[in-house]
Amino acid sequence: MISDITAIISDYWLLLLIGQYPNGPLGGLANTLILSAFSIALAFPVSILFALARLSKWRLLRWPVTALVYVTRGVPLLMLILWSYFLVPLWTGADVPSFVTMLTTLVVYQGAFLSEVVRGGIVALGHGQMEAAKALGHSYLGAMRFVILPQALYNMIPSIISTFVSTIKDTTLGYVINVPDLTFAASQVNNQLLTQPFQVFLILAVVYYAICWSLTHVANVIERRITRRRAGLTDRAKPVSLAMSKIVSEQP
Amino acid sequence: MTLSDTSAQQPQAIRIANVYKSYGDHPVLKNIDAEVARGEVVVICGPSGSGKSTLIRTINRLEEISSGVISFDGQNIHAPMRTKELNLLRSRIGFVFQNFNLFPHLSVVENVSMSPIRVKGVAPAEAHDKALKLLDRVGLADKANAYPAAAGSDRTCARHGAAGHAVRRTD
Repeated sequence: MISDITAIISDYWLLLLIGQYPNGPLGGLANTLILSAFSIALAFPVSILFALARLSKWRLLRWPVTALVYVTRGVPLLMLILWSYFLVPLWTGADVPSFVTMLTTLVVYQGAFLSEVVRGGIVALGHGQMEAAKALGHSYLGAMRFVILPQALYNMIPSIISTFVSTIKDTTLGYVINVPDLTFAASQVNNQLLTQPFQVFLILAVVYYAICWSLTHVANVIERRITRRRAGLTDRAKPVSLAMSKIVSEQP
Repeated sequence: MTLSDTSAQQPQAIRIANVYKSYGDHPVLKNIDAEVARGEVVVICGPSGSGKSTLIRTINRLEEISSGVISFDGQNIHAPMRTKELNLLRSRIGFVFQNFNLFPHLSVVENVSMSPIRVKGVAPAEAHDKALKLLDRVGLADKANAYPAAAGSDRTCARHGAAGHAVRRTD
């Protein structure tokens, strides 16, 4: 069993790593990582814009984005991928590479999900922080940028990371529209071997697990570091005795 | 802004004239008249729900009024104006919230210096120095780099808030 797996890896590692490249398009793990990185890097700012639009007082911004979020959340990702794969060339006549189709679909889909997370983080902060920022003379966008979002996004790190991880896992669906990613490479290997699907897909599972676990781990480290800094634990000054200073309280 | 000119003609820093405000049918502020001179300390007291906070919040237009005039340094705060103008006006009016609303993601000194840097474009180093001086005045210099959650009691927060808002009075 283990010898099967090492044999598969030693025979097909290059295909799993970079696909047919340089004799064909870049694929395999490299393409999965590129697709994931671009999807996350684009979906994140898009989600913030969506969230701000959803919270906007202007209906012209709020309504279309709300409709988009509802539709996107209510439709399976696979369906969206097939729609954009078949309908966009049909309507526009443009020959869109499947990588671009996959990337755009993922960005819109995960952007919609993530925007609800971001919106939740903003709403959960309450009015106080926005009012304080306004009282200091900040504009709405200034308050969002310097006061609200830094807190809302920090509070939402666990949910944001979950969405990032599911974005990485959703790149596997690119397989149905021939995006040559790691899943695609693995199924090519499986088609050649025919007799060892369990071993091939176990390798696939382990690699995805390693990628997703790394991302979660990095996020946890960042979150812990921010928490420690805000709690004053990394401050070089002597730790303040909270018990001593809590004696006086003027507020109920 | 010709602050010194207007303050020479207008000895009152804040003038509240005939202010009326209601939430639907429920009147909260009924024909309020008041004046606060430069440097004067005024205490507003009354039972809870009598509109003290509402009145104070109208002074920097966190609350709108139904009618009347509130002016700060001779400038009508509730006149129609662009948001940018209002933001600049607000940045000159100190305001400490009942529950302080300090920014938990910024250190004590950043809480005090952020608004001069971001709203007025003061150089970060200069704003930082000024903030440290003001924190020293309220006895918080040793906690300048701590975060609000670690800085201590409510009273500390109040002093902190006061320093934050004093930073704007020095313009």
